[in-house]
Amino acid sequence: MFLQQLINGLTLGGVYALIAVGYTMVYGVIQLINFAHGEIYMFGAFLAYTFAGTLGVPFYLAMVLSMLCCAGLGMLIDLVAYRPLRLAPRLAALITAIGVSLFLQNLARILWGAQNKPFPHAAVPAYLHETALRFAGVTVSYLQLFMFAVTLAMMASLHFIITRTRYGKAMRACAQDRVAAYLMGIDMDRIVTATFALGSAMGAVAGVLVGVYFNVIFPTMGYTAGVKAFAAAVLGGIGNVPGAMLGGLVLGIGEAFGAAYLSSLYSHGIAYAIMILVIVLRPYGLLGKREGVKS
Amino acid sequence: MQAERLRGEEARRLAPLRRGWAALRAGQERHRPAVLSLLVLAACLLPWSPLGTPFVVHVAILVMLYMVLALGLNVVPGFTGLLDLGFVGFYGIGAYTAGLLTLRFAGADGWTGWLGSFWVILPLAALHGALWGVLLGAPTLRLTGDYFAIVTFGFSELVVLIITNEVWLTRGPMGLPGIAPPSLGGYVFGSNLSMYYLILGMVCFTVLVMHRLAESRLGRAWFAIREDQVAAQTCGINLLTYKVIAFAISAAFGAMAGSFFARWIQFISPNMFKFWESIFILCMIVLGGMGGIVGTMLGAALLITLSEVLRVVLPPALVGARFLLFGLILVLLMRYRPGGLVPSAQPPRGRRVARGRRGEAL
Amino acid sequence: MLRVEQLAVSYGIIPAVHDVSLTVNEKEIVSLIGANGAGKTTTLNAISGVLPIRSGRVFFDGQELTGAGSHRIVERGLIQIPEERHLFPDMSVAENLEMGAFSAEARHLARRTLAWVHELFPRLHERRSQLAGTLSGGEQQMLAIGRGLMARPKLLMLDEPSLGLAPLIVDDLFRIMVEINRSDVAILLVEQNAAQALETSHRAYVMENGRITLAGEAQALLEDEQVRAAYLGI
Repeated sequence: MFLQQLINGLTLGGVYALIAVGYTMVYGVIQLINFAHGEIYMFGAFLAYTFAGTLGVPFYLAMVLSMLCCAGLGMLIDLVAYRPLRLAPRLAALITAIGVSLFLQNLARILWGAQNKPFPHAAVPAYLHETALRFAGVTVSYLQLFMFAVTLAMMASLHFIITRTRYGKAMRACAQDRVAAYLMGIDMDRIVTATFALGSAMGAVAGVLVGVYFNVIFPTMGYTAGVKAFAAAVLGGIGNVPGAMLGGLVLGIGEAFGAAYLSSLYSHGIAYAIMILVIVLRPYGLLGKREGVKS
Repeated sequence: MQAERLRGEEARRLAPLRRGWAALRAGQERHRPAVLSLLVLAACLLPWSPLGTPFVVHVAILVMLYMVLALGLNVVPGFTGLLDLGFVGFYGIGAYTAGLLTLRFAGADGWTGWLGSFWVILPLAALHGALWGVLLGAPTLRLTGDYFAIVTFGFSELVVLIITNEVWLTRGPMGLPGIAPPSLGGYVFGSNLSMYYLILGMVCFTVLVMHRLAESRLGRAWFAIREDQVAAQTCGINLLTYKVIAFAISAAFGAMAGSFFARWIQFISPNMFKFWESIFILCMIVLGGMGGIVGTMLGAALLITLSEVLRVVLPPALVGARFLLFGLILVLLMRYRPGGLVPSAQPPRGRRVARGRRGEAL
Repeated sequence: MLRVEQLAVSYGIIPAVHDVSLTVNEKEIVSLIGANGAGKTTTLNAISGVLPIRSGRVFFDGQELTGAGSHRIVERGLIQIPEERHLFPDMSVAENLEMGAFSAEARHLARRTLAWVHELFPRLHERRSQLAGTLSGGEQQMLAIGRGLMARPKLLMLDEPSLGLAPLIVDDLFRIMVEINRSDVAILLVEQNAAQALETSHRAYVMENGRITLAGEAQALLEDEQVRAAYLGI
């Protein structure tokens, strides 16, 4: 029981972490809570559904295509909605983000309908749903293994990108000191675009994985997942990429145990409660820095 | 930089227009009492005019209910410049306070014990809302705006979760049916027509309070905080106290509207108080012009009318998606008219240069 | 090389700098001195594109750069080392230097430039894998200058480099500045430490209340009665 919950928690936590890094990277660079990020995740799931289920594209290819589309969508959102407001007060950008989120969610309703949709079984390789490991009363499916593997691979590539590549380092530079980045001739707009693309692609992957895992997708799915992932980002210290990864895992495990041992009714509430507690008690998060939190 | 320059040019070109508008507003100022009385009179006569079909009266009640809500919310983002994403939590608290007390203490005809009376419940619900406002605001209002916004959001979600899950108290997702309408003496506000005048009275009360608040010392302190926190602090304004007061007043009005809602619609359930409702109300004040009373009311009227008309006009498959339009409205407004339709004296426009990581001017 | 004509800058509606014209020739060290709030930093920030210019023009190396984006300004070789250093605190010394060479041209020469920077500041080589935020004040200033040099500047604009540093370190800094200048990098120096700035410079401008009130050979200004009384405390 304990071990099983731990494994379930890690599986979901990895997904939260994938979404959370998207929030945290954008926040780091332009200090915007990108409310529309949850909707990108939802679009990731629906696009993969359309590619694999409706158009018959092989599953793994559909996942990659959905990633690319969402990266494009993320860049488009930034270009059309956020970039014109770079110099505006923060409240304006935040309200815009909420507007974009509302728009995308209802766009999905129009495109795909409001009802819950099962992820078409035929579109997903059959072995993914089979049991891969069974030990000590614990079962792990191939899908869970696949989710671990994808999450790890994504995190490793993200880590590589932000610590080793020029653009990645420039992202960190912009996040740490925007004035200096500007004076060094770093083109903010390009870096922000790259950040949105990267975060959105990771969000899309998370959407596909969750869609297949729970075998259901719906237009408002980005909302709860988005909130939880945001809670994870806050938990780790917003703006801090390793923090977001850690926060996601902690939240996933906390939720799995909470649902198993406390109350399954309040499993969503755990995320909100953690979020509020962290913000009140330790607003800079587990790995964040102490500055700029209090007014 | 380019944009900055263009904006300056635009400002210069529009200067004569601005002056005209200012003169117009000054004129309004002088005739305000007359204009207001006329408006109230018109509102009183509406149900008796040929326009007063049951549908119109129903929509008008909704419009006025949301005017109270929007005016209540406006205190926080409009007056103090803080984003509140959980306003609907207080609306829900008010509605459930009223619903539960009514079911417990009032008979079907609406009057058996004094605790079941609408006139007792209304202030009680408002106090209950304000209490939660203080409890939530005191520890979180010292945080910067973004964090505060998130906490309010989490709070409203928790409210929904609690009323969904504490079935013993709230009947959970089944909701509370059979809430009696308000009554006064022997008179029961059983019809939409009577509720229309009740909510009209509440709107007048709210506008009056908001107007007095905006003109008071309290209001000036809030505006100072909105314009420049640091400057406000150096003027000796205790930021936390004033913010908590604003938050509590806003919560009280939310809860007040909630208790009216419960006794009007006579059935409440958790999904009426979801997050999007907060956004909907926020959309109203943004559309109307944050901080302004007239603008906020106009925003509520426009959006509710639009929403209700769309509900009737759109094919059933698209009714749920009409929020798409509201999202679009938010985005376009922030881009092209951040001050809203009726900008209040100081539109929250890019008067500030961009901020670096540590808040230096870039 | 740098020619600023009738520059005006304002913060909102409040004018900060009016009608500032100045030039810096090749291989020259020019300092801009004046009291706190005279508009020196504002002038630099406007030249480098951090602040919007209200009117006036900026020419560099024969090209107009008024209102150009920072990446274009940096690419042409006009680099500002900001006041209070503005390092990337959670990146290593090496990464900070790498960010200095962000533009395409500078990146091609990065290896050679890095060797030169390490020669000028051996300390930066020793500390290359340390996080910038953990360096001492003097080392941070060295890193800020080193990072600026990585962009292959033709003109380096230094804003209060001696701020908050011990006198010995300040001496060091001025020595290195002269050394940098010998490698054909022109320098526009904003300093409150007027005496040392004037001693090091070829020419200087004095700013007061957002205007340039005095200009001339540094040596001449050093001997000017007014300047001595107002800025040198003599």
